[in-house]
Amino acid sequence: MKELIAKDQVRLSLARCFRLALSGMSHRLFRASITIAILALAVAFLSHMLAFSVVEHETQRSAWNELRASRLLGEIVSRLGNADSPRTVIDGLAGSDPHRLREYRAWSRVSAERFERAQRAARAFQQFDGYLAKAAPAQRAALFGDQTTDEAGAALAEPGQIEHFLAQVSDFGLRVPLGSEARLRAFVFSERPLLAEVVQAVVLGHARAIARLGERFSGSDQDSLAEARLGKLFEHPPANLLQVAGEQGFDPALWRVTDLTAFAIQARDRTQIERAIVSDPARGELARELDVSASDLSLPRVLGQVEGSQARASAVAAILARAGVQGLDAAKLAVLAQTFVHAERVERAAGDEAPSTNARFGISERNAWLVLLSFLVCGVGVANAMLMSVGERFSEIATMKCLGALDGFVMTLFLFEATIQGVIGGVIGLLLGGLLALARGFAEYGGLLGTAHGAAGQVALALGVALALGVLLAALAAIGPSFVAARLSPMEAMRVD
Amino acid sequence: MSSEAQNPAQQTPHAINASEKAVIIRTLGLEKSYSAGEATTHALSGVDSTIVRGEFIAVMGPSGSGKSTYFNMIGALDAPTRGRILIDEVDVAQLSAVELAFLRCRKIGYIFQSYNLIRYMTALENVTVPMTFAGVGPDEARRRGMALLALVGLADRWSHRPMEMSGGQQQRVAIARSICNEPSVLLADEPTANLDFKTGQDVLDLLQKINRERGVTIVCSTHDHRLLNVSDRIMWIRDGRVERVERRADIAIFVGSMREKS
Repeated sequence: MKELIAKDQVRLSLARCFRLALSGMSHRLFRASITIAILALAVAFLSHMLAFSVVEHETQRSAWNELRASRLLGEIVSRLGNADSPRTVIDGLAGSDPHRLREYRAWSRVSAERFERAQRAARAFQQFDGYLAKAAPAQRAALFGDQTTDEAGAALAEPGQIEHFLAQVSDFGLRVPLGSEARLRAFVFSERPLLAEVVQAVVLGHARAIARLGERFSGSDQDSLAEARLGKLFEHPPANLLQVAGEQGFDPALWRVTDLTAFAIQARDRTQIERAIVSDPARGELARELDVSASDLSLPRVLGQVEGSQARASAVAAILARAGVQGLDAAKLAVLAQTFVHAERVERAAGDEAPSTNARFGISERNAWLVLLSFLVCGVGVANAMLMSVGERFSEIATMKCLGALDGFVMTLFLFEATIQGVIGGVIGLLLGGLLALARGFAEYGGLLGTAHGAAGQVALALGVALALGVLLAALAAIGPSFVAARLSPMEAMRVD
Repeated sequence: MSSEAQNPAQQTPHAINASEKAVIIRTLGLEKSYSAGEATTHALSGVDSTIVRGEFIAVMGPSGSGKSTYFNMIGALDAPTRGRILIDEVDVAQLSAVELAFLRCRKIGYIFQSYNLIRYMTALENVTVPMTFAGVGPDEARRRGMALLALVGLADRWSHRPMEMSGGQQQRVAIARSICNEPSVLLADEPTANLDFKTGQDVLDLLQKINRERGVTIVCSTHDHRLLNVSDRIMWIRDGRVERVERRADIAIFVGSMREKS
């Protein structure tokens, strides 16, 4: 046989294939743009989901932090006015907050050793409390009736009661509270009375400290600091406030006077307004001014209406001033309304539970399914678009193979086309989805959006992930159709359509 | 016109004795059957044929005769069920996919009934496609492409897309494309079927010119009896077999009478 005339066909370089794919696409813009649109939709959806989840998650977290901070402020201010309840004291003793413990220690005026025993007792009390809470309602009723934990403890100390109780517990087949009879007896007979004693000492000491503080800063008043008086105290906070509070057993390490001042004054102003709202003739005037019925008038309503309107703020401020509200001009009222609306928004945004910290992009399981599903649908869409693109080019592909195109070239051409379309569609989708997420975030959280500045990096990452997935999706969806195209017989070119 | 067409044909030396000349395509006992379910269709049942370098051969036969299958076989587009195809004495069955691509690219030029231009490319781009596959650089390909377009008389329409050209012009672009890598054989599958009388004649003249001036072997399937005037030999295929092969000189009178009727 003669030497082969056929040598191996030239393989085109990837760069050449890429250029050919590009020029082919530019010639078939309409078909390409449909595929691009499908991809853009998929990526827009994904990037929107991801970016919005991040924004939502971060906004919630920052709102939650803000809420916690304002609750802490509220707590500090309220503890300046009212002594802690015995239950709060017990929880504080059982807990590990060093500021709280330092204050209780100072107010109780007991020895370190007794205080430590009280702390242990407080923990046992909580354990006992937990035991009661976990008991089935019927058993609980049989054992303690409707007594509180404190009362139940006291009842057990009555002669003979603890033996009766233990017999009942073993009848029911329950565990003995606190693990053993000895521990229970120790709690009932020695720890519980000690705890009661120390708690009472703390409560008294707290009340005393409040009274002293009031004496020092609010004239001769002997009663506790009422909210309005607190406002007056903080309007011009004395320079030595922290020092004097410290002398009285408070632990002012966490106090920031400016925050406290703002918080206390606003609390006072809110109280003033609430009082003015229910008094005549301010009630009628406000209702007319704000165009709501008098029965609907409430603090949130008034502040909500005032927010953002300078004219209303001055009108309402004038009405309030006539009703005896002091120190609240239009500017201050506007600030108050703004803070109030913001706080409400924060409370709404924060939701009921602290946001989890480990969720990737803050995507919930339901949303993850949605994303997955939408991606599958789009994958099918892209694969279909590619298949159609192959189908309508059967003759073209076959002709190219008649003219010497290798299977690998055809495959590469189609994969490149899909990838290029994936990148273009991905970028368009990314912009769309990102903007949409931003718009939705703004609609839902308004001004709070800016508080989630920590999310910028994460949003960028989320968008990047969406783009990468879009390109990958396009390439993967194109593999099948490209394979079909590459395997197409050149005979197809002979077919007359 | 008939004398013009006949005279050079009679002077062509190739047609006189095929066996003495270099054989470019030879088929030996070529069989092709398609099975659809239990039924088996024999498209070709034992075709022995010889095509000589430089000749212009017309393949004629009614539709369903196996003509297209034969074309696919000698174009190395399809593999036979049994039998051998030798192109330039190379057994096509033994070639790898990459070698087949080489063969299709350099040795064979294809001309299709429906032109098969790539519809989104300009005339020039269409002509340069096979050169791209042959590894010719873009500048060189463009230069040669323009020369070929000039050869087929379409130099001024190089930037037109297929939709903007008439059928005859498209087929001329396709002819320019088919010869751009200087193939040994041109396979033309009913090249004039979609064309009107005048443009069909132009295309035939062009094919004849290429055959005469460049010595390219042309295998042309057709229903167009005008083609008989320009061919050296005519191969009649019927029911998957070669019915007869005639030299054009032998049927000149017959053809003449046919044309008078038409």
